[in-house]
Amino acid sequence: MFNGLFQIALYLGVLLVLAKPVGYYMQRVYDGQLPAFVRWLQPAENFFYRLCGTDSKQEMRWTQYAMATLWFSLLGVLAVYALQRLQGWLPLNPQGFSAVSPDSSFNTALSFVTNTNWQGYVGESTMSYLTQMAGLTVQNFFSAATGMAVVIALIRGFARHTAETIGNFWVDMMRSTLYILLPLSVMLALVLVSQGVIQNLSAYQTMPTVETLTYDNPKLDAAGNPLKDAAGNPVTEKATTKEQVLAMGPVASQEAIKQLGTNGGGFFNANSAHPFENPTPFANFLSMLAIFLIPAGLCYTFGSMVGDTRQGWAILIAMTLLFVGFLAVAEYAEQQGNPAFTALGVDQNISATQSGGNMEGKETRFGIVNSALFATITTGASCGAVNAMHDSFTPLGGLVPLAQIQLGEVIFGGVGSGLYGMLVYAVIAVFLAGLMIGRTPEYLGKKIEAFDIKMASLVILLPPLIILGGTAVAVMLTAGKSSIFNPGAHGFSEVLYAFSSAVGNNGSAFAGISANTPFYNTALGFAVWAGRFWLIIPVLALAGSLAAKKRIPASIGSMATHTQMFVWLLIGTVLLVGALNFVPALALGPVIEHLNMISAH
Amino acid sequence: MDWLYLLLIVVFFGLSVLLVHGIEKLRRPS
Repeated sequence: MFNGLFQIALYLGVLLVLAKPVGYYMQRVYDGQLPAFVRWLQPAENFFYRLCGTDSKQEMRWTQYAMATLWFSLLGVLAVYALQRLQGWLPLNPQGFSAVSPDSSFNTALSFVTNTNWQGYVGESTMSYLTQMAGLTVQNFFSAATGMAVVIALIRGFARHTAETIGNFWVDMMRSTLYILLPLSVMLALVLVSQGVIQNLSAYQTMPTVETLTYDNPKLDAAGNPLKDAAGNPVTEKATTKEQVLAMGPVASQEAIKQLGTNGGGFFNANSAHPFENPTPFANFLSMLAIFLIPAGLCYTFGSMVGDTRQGWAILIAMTLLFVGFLAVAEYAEQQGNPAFTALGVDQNISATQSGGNMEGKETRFGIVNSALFATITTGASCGAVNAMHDSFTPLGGLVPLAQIQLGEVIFGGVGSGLYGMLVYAVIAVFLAGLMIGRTPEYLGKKIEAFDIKMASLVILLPPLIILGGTAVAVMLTAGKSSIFNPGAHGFSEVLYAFSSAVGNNGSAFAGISANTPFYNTALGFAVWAGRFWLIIPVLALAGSLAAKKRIPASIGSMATHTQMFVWLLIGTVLLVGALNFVPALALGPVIEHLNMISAH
Repeated sequence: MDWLYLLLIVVFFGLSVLLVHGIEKLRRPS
């Protein structure tokens, strides 16, 4: 118990200590005051501008900024799609993988460009090394940098005074990639290699196993789908093996940016539960730290760029309090385990020799605490990397990742996307406060007017519309229902999680659903695109609107937005909006599952 | 089937461009 609490406290302590230096560094980078130790990279930055014919001094209006984002992302989608479809003829494919199917290529291309990294495929049996490196890893950098560029544009909207422009997308993209993501990724990849994460281009290795393994092999039909009997149970046959094929690959380089860029797409299907991706407790700690590092730092960057660091701390404190609350629920639910097992005589108590609690789908080397902590981090952020199977969490433990995604992943959130989501909630919060006291709402000296609220409303209402609409369509259609392996409330949770994860650009899954089908690949492909760019566009419009306004000095009538009261108002707004949108859907899934579990007991 | 998915990608892009122009029109009604 103490050990677990100590690990959580250590994690939060290190994260919060690093927020300021990382945030200060990013503020210097975006303001063009490069620290000496990265100034040697400046010729490379200028070279890329010349290569692309970009004038780095040219500022953009919000529409130009949005169009640059869209064009850049469209090219990324087409490149990743082409790489997957052509990988059979391209080099760095020692396993000789053939082309990925069109629907899976479509889904994966959209998924990685939107920072979602939803993976309907199995990485080690589908993707060539070239596709992994030149397609997926490159998009891990670019999609993260896009999110960071957008939040910096929004921050400039708050910071500027009667300005028409919000920055230059190409400059913000380039600086995010070259000075922030790349150096951090190189450092993290090297440390991960020291922990045992592999980094090679070798063919897969066949190794003898210690003992002969007998297992139940699922029978497949001609199309490769698992066969089910009349009762809906999988049909299996006994099989034995004396050897094992170990997948290889350039894992560490993808692993580092996977966490730092809150991308989450694993090199292997088991993601961070795989020992070649996440071999040691220290690697696990660094992975979790990397997920929240940039989002936490960006809060300080925000405060610094708007000229009042207290504003950034207030946002960071609100995020931290929300995180601790959700983490407590997840840890408690997983440590309690399943009461139905207790009735059968299963020992689920914590002891010197076991973690206790619900260990289904968890790695024994991580145990309950680090599995629930990782799950809360990866879904507070829009990361989606997993070191345990969320599908096997207890109903309330599984509700935590689901609810955090549905709140918009603003609890630290994705790199850039978390902070711009939280700033939109801050705009809504000051609007609600303004309604209550009968004053025109202001945030950071900017009057919040009708257009701004329309944009903020789009950002908070579009996701529930697509999540709930998509889930409703999927559970009505045979194509949607036939992929569900767990009928009933849990099956509904799996579909709801899939659409929530796609729209939230998270990428994790309640994996008891066969999502690599034309229906889910197409529907979730639409969801990831809409969940990303149909929110980025109103955020940039909000940035443009705010930048054009005067910055009014704070007066005695202004509501302070760095105080304890504002922190609680912001937390209340996030929870209230989320509850109003999603409580009925959650009641049909995890809540019913929980009631079923305790009634069985 | 490639044409279908490439078409869908272009449609998503096109809808996003329309959203940009629609919002700009909302902001600055002519």
